[in-house]
Amino acid sequence: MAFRVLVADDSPAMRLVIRRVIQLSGFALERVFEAADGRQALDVLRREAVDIVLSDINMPVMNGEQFVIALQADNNLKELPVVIVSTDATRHRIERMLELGAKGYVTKPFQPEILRAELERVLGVAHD
Amino acid sequence: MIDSANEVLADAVRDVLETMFFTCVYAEIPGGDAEGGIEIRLPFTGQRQGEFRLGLSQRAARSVAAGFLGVEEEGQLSAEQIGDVACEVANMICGSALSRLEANLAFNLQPPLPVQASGRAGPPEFAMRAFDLGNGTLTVGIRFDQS
Repeated sequence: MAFRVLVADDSPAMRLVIRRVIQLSGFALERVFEAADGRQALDVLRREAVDIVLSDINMPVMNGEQFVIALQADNNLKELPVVIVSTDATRHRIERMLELGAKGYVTKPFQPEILRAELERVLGVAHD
Repeated sequence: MIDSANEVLADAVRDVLETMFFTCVYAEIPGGDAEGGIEIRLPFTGQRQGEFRLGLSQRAARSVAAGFLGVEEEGQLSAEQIGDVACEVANMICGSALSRLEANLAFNLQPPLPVQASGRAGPPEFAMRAFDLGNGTLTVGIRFDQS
């Protein structure tokens, strides 16, 4: 089975790198969607079928925290798993995002295998 | 706090550049300036407030951007791409340094602000540190507001 992934990050460079890292890591990927903020991510999710979201926290318009809260408030989207990808590695932030409903957390900088492992853990996929 | 911050800055620079930008940090060097390159200011708020600064020489900025984006020909990079990657470098080094400084410290990084490179070392309160990347130099510094 291959997965459809949404990457939400305000940096075009970071979105490109995450896309490339997922592809090169060997993760079973069907398609990658991109959004520059939480609002755009919600728009994508309301018109496309997505299996998992990778989201930054610091984004304009709607940040990662607001995005996760919005997902939890939407009956059609609240089961969609979100993995936070952030430079913030403080316990306070990690606990806060998991309490809000994020299912995983990867801190930047990260090795490709770390991102793949977290995607597979959250999706319940056995590693090859 | 500033002494501890300067210690973790060097570790954060090496970790971030080597892990995600495929760039080696050869040595810490005295002084260092942006050589007319890119300078980024990144304010942060929260329990500790202040500002992080990053400078990249032109050569270093191109090289780091190429490594990050997987571009073999540096000439193919646009100024926008180079600036975007420099902002991401600043974001990651600052976030990594603040997280290492105190695991329980709550902070919010503000959007990175590219500014005209002054070509000079930062103000004394930043205690800038400079690193030789082989293809140019990187300078970083952090300042905490008095609480």
